[in-house]
Amino acid sequence: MENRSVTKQVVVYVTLAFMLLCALFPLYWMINTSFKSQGEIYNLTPNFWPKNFTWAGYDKLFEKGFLKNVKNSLVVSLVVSVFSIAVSMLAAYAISKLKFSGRGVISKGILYAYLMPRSVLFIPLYMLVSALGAGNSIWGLMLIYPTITIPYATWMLISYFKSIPVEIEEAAMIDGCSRSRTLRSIVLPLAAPGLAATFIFSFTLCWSEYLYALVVVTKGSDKTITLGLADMIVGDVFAWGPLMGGSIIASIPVVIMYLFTSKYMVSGMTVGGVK
Amino acid sequence: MKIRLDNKLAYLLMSPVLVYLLAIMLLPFGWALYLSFTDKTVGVPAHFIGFGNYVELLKDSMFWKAVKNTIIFTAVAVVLKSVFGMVMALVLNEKIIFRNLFRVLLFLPWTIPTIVSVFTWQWIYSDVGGVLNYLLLKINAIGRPIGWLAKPDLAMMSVIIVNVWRGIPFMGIAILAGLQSVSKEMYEAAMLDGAGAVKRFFYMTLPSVKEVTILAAVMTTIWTLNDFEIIWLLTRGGPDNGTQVLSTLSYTIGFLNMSLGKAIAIAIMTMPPLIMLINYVTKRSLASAD
Amino acid sequence: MKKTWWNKVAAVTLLSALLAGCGNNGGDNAGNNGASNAAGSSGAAAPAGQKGKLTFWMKKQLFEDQNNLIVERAKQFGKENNVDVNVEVIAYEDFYPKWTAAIESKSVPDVSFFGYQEVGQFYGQGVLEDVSDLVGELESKNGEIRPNVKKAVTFGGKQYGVPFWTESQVLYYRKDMLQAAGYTAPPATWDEFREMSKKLTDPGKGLYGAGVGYGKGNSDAEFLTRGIIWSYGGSVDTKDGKTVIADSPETVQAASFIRDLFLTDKSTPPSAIGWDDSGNNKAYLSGQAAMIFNTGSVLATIKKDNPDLYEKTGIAPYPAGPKGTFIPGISNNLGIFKDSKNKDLAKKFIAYILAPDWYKTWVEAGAPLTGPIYTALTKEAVWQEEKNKAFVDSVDGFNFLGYPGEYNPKAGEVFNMRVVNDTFQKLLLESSYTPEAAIKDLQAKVQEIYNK
Repeated sequence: MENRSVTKQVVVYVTLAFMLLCALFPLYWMINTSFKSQGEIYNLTPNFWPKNFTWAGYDKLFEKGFLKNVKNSLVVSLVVSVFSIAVSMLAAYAISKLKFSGRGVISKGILYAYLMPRSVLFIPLYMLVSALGAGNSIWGLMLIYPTITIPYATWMLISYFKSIPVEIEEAAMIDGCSRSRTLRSIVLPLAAPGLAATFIFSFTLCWSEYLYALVVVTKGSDKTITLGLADMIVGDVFAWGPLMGGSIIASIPVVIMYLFTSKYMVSGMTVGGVK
Repeated sequence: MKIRLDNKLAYLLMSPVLVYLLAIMLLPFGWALYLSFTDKTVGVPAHFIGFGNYVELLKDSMFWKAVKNTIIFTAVAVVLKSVFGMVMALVLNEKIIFRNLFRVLLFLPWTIPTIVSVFTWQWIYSDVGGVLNYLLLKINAIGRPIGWLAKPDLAMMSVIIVNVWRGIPFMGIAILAGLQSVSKEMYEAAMLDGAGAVKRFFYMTLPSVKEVTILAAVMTTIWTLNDFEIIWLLTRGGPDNGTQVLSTLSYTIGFLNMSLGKAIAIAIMTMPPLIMLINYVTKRSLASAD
Repeated sequence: MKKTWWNKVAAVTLLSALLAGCGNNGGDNAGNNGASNAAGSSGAAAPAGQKGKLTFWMKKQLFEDQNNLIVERAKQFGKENNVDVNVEVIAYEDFYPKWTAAIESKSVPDVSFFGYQEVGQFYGQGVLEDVSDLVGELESKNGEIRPNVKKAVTFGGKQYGVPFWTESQVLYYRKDMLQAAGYTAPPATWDEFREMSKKLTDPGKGLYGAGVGYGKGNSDAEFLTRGIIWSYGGSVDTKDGKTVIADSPETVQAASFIRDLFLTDKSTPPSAIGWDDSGNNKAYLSGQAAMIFNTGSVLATIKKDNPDLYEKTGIAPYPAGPKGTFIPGISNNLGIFKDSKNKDLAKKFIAYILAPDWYKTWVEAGAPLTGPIYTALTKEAVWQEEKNKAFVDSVDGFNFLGYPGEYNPKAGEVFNMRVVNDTFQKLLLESSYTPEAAIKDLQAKVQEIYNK
């Protein structure tokens, strides 16, 4: 027994170390590059740490108003994710817990809506958004982005809701809990890790969207981070420093968001308090 | 619970989602479907040509090559992402030190916008100051720098690696969230019975997160199949069309060449297999609710 | 009772969502209608009190100065003409989806940047305005526009774009490396280029003579290959716009030359077949390649970031083939969409941008990447500098896609679909694939496009 758990510990930590290495090496390389001068970036043999440490890339970034882009992305992603999770939660609850006619068709239809690639849909969606007068602003993005997040969120939540044993709910309902009460005090707390995970991924889907943003937003003041980063590339010459630095800055809000939501991702079972 | 219909309540709950999707997606979808049956090019009115685009594509060897590449790219990437995602979830679900820190760190690849992570990988793969070649040369694993994007098979492998690298956190965190909902008591009960780790995984853990894993894999499949940026920015479908997938082919035909109708036809043809996949998966998950 | 609670919540959620949606749309709609009405009615002579609107999509330039100058100039135009000029600086890669969405939704910019291929392509789609009168007016007022760049946007004797600036591909070479190998001058012919490349290559040190790449999307390669094929007397297009003449002994000869460079001599870096447009820049900037072909972007970058390399760099025109020197031309233009609501104002704006005094400042701020369209301006001191001269001189050797026929949309399609790169990638990857077979396949693929 003792032996087995030591072996297990070793396996777990070795696996963890390997995964960390793979996940983080490219990020380390990005940070490394962001502090190098243009000349050093193009060195034939790569340096594992910048010889001449420079903040020039970051200076250029702020010169170009990158923080404004971050703010725009933050607003769009937050609004869209909150809205999507709220409505998807209701739909997912209905689909996973209720019997109704047309359940199969509707639930599948929500996923079908997801199959059309963006590279096709951007034209009609652009027309729609301009016709509604929301073109050329982050409002347009807020209108479009739920097409990316809702089908995803609905279905992931269906699966999380369904992993909650029916028995618990039944027990609650037999005890005299109403459906709404059951949902609030049993289902949602139990599904909290799933809700949190779905939220954070909805957020990142909006956060890194490029094509819709490119087509819809043209005003400098409404550009999102992906557009701001793309601005660092001109033809065959890339501003590597700002580009890499920008994406590091861009990942900070997501990490904060993740830390914030991960609170709920830690064991929903205890939070739920089945008793 | 008695089997009884909750039509009114159900539709009420679903109405925000349904109204939104119908309002926003129905028209564009109809528009796209119609255009796929026309000779539409940018700026010129469309003429109905029936199945012309589809027939032309089915006769085109390039299309079939793209189909083959798409299947390879998607299948390999999704399987790898699912496996590594499961491993990541299991490891992060253990009682390890700094668990929260490691969760954040392993989540990071997903947070970097695709365009930038692609350029970073391009540098890593590069034979000029590319760190991958440099390290491999140093440990004498290779004799001379390798052009990671210069040979069709290697290039396919390289774009898959980038896609997998970026996609693992999604699978990992989605499954982890599912694991967190698994009752600790169930675990402990199984432990008392003396079940081994492997057995516990297959009889306790896996069944409890099966639903989430399958759905996350379906989502990933849809995303991977339509993944455009990674391949476009790394290889444009080359070399020798070795990484030409349907999404890049569709983009080339539709936007560089302005044949919108044909480009949309390609996109539409990717739908039936995906619909079949969805039907298969949802049939199980919808049925098991009873 | 319990159940109604739910009904209420859901109903309120739904209602508020709908209301929010309607409210927004309504408000924005009104604002937008107001704006577009104003734009629609402004025309050339905006009546007092009503401000017109002009949208200009400009290609993002490498030099921040040039981008800023354009924006300032547009503002100035707006002040003088009492219009709101909205300049959007867009990266070249992003133009295609934006044009497509704009054309399809009929919300086009009034003035837009176009490469000459796009002028041809959009002319073929019938969405571009004939601007011959404007070109004529500019020439009579400001002097001759270089004939070669005018040629690229002329269809049926009429111009569908106004030339804005030229870009030339030239040969970059490392003076120090060539000297060390015993050469005093850059290669004058392709044969010399091959011989020197071989001598300059030293894989042990990671050095290669020829920094020539063949990535699928690589437009540098598409152009370079044509330049080589043309100089051997071959073609990848037609003489008359119908019959493809790619399959000729001359084209095969050129293909063999390229194949030898890669496979026989191995004078190119190992990853070159996968290079995108930035591949040769990287190779040159890192010192991996001794010679590359590129526009002025590389020179401009090293002048700023790497003065040492700048000093070691020599610039020369393309080497010559048996039939002489052929340079694939790159011309950049301004055009007006037929759907523009302010065509007269748009023309006035283009003329304002191309007024020689200001234009000279702008174009020289981008030297040597951006070359002037006016013949007179090529005589300016900046273009007589040793490293800059080749860039404006090369324009006289310009030929365009479609050669020896004139540029046409089909030739543009051949270029856009990267048919030539595809063929050469295959040729350079499969050692059993002969140049003869490759060119035969090329002929078939190009013919297929022309037949459609």
